[in-house]
Amino acid sequence: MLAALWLHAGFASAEKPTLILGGPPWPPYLDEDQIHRGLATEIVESAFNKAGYPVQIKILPWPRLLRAAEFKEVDVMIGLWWTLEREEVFVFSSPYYVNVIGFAAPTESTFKPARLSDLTNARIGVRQGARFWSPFDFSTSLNKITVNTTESALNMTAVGRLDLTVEDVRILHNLINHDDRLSEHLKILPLPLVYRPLHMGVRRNLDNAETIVADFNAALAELLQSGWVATIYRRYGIAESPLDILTRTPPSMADE
Amino acid sequence: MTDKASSQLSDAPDYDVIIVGGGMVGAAIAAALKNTSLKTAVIERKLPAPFNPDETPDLRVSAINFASEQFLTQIGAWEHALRMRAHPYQRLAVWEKLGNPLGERLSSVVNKTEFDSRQVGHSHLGHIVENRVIQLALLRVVEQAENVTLISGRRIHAINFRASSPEVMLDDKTLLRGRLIVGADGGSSLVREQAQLGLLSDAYEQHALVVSVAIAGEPQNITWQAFRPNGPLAFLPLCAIDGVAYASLVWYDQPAKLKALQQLSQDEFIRALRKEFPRQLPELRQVLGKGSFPLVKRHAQHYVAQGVALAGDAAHTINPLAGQGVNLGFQDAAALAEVIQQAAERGLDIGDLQTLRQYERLRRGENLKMMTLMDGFYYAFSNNLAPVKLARNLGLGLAGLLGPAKRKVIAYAMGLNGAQTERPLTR
Repeated sequence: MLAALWLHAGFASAEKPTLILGGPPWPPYLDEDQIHRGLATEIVESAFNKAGYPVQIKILPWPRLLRAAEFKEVDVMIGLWWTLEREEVFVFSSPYYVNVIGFAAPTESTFKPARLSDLTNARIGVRQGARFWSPFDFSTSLNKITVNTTESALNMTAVGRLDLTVEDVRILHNLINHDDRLSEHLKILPLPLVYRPLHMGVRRNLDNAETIVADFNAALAELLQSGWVATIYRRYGIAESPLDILTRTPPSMADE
Repeated sequence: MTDKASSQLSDAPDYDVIIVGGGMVGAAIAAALKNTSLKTAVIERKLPAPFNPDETPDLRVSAINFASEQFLTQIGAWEHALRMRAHPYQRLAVWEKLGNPLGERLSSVVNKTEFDSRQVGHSHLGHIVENRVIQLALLRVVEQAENVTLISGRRIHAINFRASSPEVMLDDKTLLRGRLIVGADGGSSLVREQAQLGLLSDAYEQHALVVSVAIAGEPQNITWQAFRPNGPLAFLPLCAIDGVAYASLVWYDQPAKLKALQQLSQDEFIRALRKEFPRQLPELRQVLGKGSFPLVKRHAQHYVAQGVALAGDAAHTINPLAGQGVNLGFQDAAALAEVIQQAAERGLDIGDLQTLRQYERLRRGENLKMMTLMDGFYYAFSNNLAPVKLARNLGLGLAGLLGPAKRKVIAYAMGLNGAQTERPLTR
């Protein structure tokens, strides 16, 4: 309660528009079943509260979400990885998390991809509409098989219909650890594909989009400084500090 | 070159504009502000070595398009660059390297297109110039400007944007206060970091290997790029020195491949270049130098905040595919100099956020457009599917045949598209 009061005390909320925040189901980052609707939702909602913006939240499947943004029914995308095409549509906030994108493979797999070209012969399950990293997304020499959900891809990988499932590693761990059959048959490969900072994005055609992002960034900086973001991280089992996470630059396939 | 600064350092002088970074873009902003009422300082840790006409060309070169050439002329730097050396090119060719017999047969018909400046009534499309020559030319203008002080040989210790006027502290504890701090300090900008302007970034899979070579025959008047799935190969012509013509080659590929190439002996490396580059590559006489760098795209989340503005690579790093990076930087320089000068003339605060937002509005969209275009171009050519290849090659071939479309492409290559040429450039 105190925390909520403190969050609201940061800025006067008068005359600030109500923002419609949207995101796809993407546990544990966006999750309608969680009390705070996921790590990403909670951080973004906290920062907007701190900045004095009332918000409503819509969790919609990705294709519907994009349409909703196009028809101005959603103002803010809760979690976005930056691409140039997306920057034309959304004003990006400062990052509030960094996703580690990696692969799940069958337990017995000896596959050890170290660079993108090592993936050429693998059947890779990719969640519909996902954009992970441009060289991966645009590559036509990779055998990427679109599936409706990451769970479907993992199930197919567990029974040998796919060689790999690509996704955020925390999501992979969550899904695998909560299913005995998957945990018996799947493992996470050690080298990630790439690290992607996670941003909030305000649609560019919303009035005062730049100001809204600037307000959000100022509030986010305060939440980082005060330890509130670290508290949220810990609630989702993340022991690393936000500073460590936001500045991490480990080896990945993007590097030599 | 540093005399004007050294006598003032201990006095903690007050400036209107403090430019951090005296590279091509930072020096261009300073040069564009010459002879204005704005007291300006440029801080550059290491000044370039003086030009020696007998020296072979540097490794780092830029393709200066026609619009940048106009801007450099207006601010008085181009004549200095020409007096050192700059090599014009009239033609620009793009094609795809096809590795099968069918491709070889098709190649002369559909997979190449060439643009010629004479088709739009210009003597040349642009110049290939060594970065050091451009920087020296600009610094020569800066040295002659009464209102500009060049501070070199010192590092930035800290930048404080919380003071009533932004402050820059040098490593000798000299404190410089300005109304506006300009970050022209490159891709790893300290100003951007200290001002918390934020950065959006992503890596490409490929790296680029730049090679400086001596070639047989006359200096070339064509620059070309050959596309292959592993990444493009580029040829940039340079001038002749003592009867020997030079050129710069760029090989985009996997980092591991480029690392292996760099470990080859000179003869082995030349053989590898001959094997990989298309037959249009002139005979190679000697490799003078080589160096590789990773390809990244970066875009500052904000170009400006109260008392601070970013320009050039500090604001955006683009895929170097078409050599547009420094040209975008010069457009930033022209726009920023114009915005702050107009504000000063109207008696407005040049460091005010509302003033600086005009600059961001002028440049952000234009830069994003070019970044997206280069990115799309890069990925369109980074795949191996035969039907896609054929379609692309037909597209390239058609672009070569269509008059108005071709003229548009040439205008784009020359930087004569978009708003920047309609807006009067500063001085």
